[in-house]
Amino acid sequence: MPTAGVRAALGSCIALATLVLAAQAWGAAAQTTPAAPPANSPAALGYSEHGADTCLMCHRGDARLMTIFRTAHARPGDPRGPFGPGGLQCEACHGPGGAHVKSFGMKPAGIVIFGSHSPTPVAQQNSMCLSCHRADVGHAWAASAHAANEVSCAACHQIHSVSDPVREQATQAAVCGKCHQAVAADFIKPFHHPVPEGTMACASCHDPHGSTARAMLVKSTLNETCTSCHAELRGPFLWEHQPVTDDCDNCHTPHGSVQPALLTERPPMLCQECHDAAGHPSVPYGPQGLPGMPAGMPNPYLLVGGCVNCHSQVHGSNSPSGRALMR
Amino acid sequence: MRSRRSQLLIAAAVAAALAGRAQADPPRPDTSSWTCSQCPFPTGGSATIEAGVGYADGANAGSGRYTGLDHGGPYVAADASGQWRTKSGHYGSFDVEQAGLPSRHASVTQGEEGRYELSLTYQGQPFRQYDDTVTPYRSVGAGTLVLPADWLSSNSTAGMTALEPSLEGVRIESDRRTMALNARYFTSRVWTLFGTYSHSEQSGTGIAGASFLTEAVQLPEPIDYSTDTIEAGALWAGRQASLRLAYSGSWFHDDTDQLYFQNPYLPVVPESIGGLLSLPPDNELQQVSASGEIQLPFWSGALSYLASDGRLGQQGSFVPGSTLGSDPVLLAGSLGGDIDLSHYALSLALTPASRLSMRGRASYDGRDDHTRQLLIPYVVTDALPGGTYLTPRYGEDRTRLEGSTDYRIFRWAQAGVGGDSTHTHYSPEQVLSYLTELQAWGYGTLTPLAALSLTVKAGSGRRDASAFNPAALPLDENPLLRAYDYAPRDREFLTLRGTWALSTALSWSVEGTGSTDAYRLTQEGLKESRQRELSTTLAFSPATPWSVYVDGSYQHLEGLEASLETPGASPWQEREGEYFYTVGGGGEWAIRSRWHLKVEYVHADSRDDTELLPVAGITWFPEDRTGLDTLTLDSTYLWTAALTLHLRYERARYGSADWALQSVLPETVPTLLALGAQPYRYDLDVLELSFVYRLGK
Repeated sequence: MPTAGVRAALGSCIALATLVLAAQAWGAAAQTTPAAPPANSPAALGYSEHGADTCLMCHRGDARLMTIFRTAHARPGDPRGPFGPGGLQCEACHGPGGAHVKSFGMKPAGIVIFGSHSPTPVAQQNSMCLSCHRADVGHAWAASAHAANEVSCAACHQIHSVSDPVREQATQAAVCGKCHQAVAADFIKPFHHPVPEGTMACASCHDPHGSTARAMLVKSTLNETCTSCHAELRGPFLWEHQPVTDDCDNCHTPHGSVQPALLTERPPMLCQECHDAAGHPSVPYGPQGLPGMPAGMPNPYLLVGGCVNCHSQVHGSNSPSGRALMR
Repeated sequence: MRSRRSQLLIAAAVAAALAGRAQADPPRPDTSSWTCSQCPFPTGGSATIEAGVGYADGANAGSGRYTGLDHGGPYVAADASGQWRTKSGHYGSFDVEQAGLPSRHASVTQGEEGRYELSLTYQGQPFRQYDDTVTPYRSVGAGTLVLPADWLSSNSTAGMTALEPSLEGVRIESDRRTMALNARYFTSRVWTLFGTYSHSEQSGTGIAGASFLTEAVQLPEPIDYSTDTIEAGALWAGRQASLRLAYSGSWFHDDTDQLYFQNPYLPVVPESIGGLLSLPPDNELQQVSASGEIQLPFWSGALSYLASDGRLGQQGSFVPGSTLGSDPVLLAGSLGGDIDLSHYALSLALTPASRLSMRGRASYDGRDDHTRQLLIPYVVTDALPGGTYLTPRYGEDRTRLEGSTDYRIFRWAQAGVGGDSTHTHYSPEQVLSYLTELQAWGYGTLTPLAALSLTVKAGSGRRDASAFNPAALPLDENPLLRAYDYAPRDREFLTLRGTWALSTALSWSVEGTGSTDAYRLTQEGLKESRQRELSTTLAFSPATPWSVYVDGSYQHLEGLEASLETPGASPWQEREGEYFYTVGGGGEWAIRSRWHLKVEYVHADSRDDTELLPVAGITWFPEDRTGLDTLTLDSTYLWTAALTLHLRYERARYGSADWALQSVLPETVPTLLALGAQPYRYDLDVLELSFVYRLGK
């Protein structure tokens, strides 16, 4: 196949690029002579004298900030966390606060302030988060659509809250919908995935921190994402339906639809987009086939499920006689 | 091929690990004297327990589609959450939501800071489709549907004189229940071992259609699925690189692999008295993957990678191919389904200058179907021999390249261009050998004021296909079958987005998109389609105690398709227009920190117009319409520091018109014995009163 070469080249790239970079980095490390910093006291490096104790002298009265101590970011026994042994505490995220303290809190003085309307550039905000979270959630962040659109971590996450709405299944969609308004409207349509009802979340299908799949899907392809829940449709079947193996969105739309089963169009018209003059003729089943029409007769090719009244195994059949997906 | 993939996985893993060794720590302050004596690390426990009663009036399957609140009457309103922590660093939490409904969720987490974390979760997912459906079939054990003993067959539903007295209600609904156990063990600062096991069960009744030649019947299909999923691996997180190695496996099991049903019609051939439907067979998917990131030593670059290899298999036993005693199709064993799934991807992000950033991605997704092809003599709908046919297998290789660059021209202006190319190569049995899609776009963003941002993005795309290969199709199929999927297409699209924070209290955002598709060289299938969307939100939050918002959206989708009744005939056309709009608003008020009220209202309407041209007589279908109005009031009153009164009221009214279902009862269509489902309609009132009690700090 022509793409076999591309596949081999791409695979080789992964290995080669990482090996070259690793070798470079290894060499650089070997040449680095560990030397004691000239002065490693916090003050010498721009930090406050006493860490969080300094910060809390002024900020302990703000109840919204103090809830941080009830979150995973403030666990004193976790060496990975800001408040763990050797941690930089508040300044792990907000940056060195020595100058801020010296100004008696009158100036931000380089303090990193988080949020969509923060004076701190988004890239700087996010670099603070990624310094710890790059591996667990952010390894595909840099090339993600959210990074490209300069979305700050704090635009979605509430770090100081005991409960972060975007991490809760029931409230996540409301956070995502603030920007993705058209998608939020899709979920009001009569047929949708149960996201507004809270038994699914946007993150059930999408990885907001980036992925190597299109639309930041959690799996590498759309079909693998869909069949992680709809495993009964995964196949392989004895008789397959090519558009199904190709891409679920040939017939379905994921967020919401006015058509049953999240279809892009109503059968039989949906099926007739591909199947015309095939098998039995592609008849223009018109309104004459509806109940109560004069000189008409209720039409089984049009009503209820249309084509799937007979061809119900549209996702594939394992019956030896399932060639037309009718058994 | 497999060994090369394995080598790639290992090489990627080793390379990333080596890269991580190179990290050079920046100067870190000595914080050993930072005691954090003022930090109020919690010890002990706290919990919130909510208990009360709710009452629903007017509920049905439509209103309870995903909540399970599908019938009127009282129900338990109960939620709970809590957390605890010891001085030694052990912690835990629990959360229970909607405990009185089938959509209940529960989770329990326990861990030790810096050592491990375990969590157990449960999620119920009800799916209520219809509660007004009826059928003459009776279920006899799993997978067998029989008609009443006094059933009188006929070649028309009108002639089935025993139909009316035989009908019994059957609810089309199912419940999915998923339990998951997650574990993380932090072996060191940089290594984490993780594992997840989940078990999901889905049981209930769905709808399956089946026919005997042209006489069809809708059946209540048993759903009895379970899926076990495991994911386990290790995560390594260095300062300059990361690596995630994982194995995942998913095993799907169906307790009922076939459905036998009696023929309610007069048999076309004497032996055709029953049908046999194959239900989803067991399958399994196993994958290994390596993914991670490497920080590049130049241009603030980051390289992300993924390599994944797996196998999708299916070993379910074949069901008999026919109920005909004289002409059964019996295949021994199972399909031996075997598909290789492979994915490789590289992403690169660079910032060569402070004003310039670049991103690119190359990915490959392969579906290589090794399943043997079988030459099968098949039977048409348990009635007539259909001939012998070779089972087709479908595979493809998809390569995708993406790139974009953004340049900040001024502090208030940014522009960018990008594009992508997708090349799909199909296996030889298919009508195409390849499909290529190219897309390019550009955008500009203006931020004349810090609070005002306007973005315009426009682009176009082109899809081209190889020549069709009619030889790949069965003799009785049109060579242009699947024309839509593969039709050469031109696409133009435009997106507008604006946000304006007029003040810290008042903000407005608007988003509009439009796209037009034109299908070149297409005489049949979809010829053109258009999509228009507009969404907007105005929010006002003058002070912490209260805020209000209004929002709305509009969508218009339109498509034109052409079809041929017979080869060589003049095409007929179908035009469909779909309209959907929403308006809504709401607000929150807090009075004296005791009383909190939240109000939300949503109105949504949809309309679907279908017209056939040129067709003699009536050309317009009746409009399919839906209309939804919901009003939700949610109020809490802080009675004491520990006790809160919670009152919630919801009113939802929904109506719909659907020409495919409306007035179609079991006997309405002579050759379709339907379940009689009618369009959704409900007028729901829900009142919930509960007490919330807080324990601990």
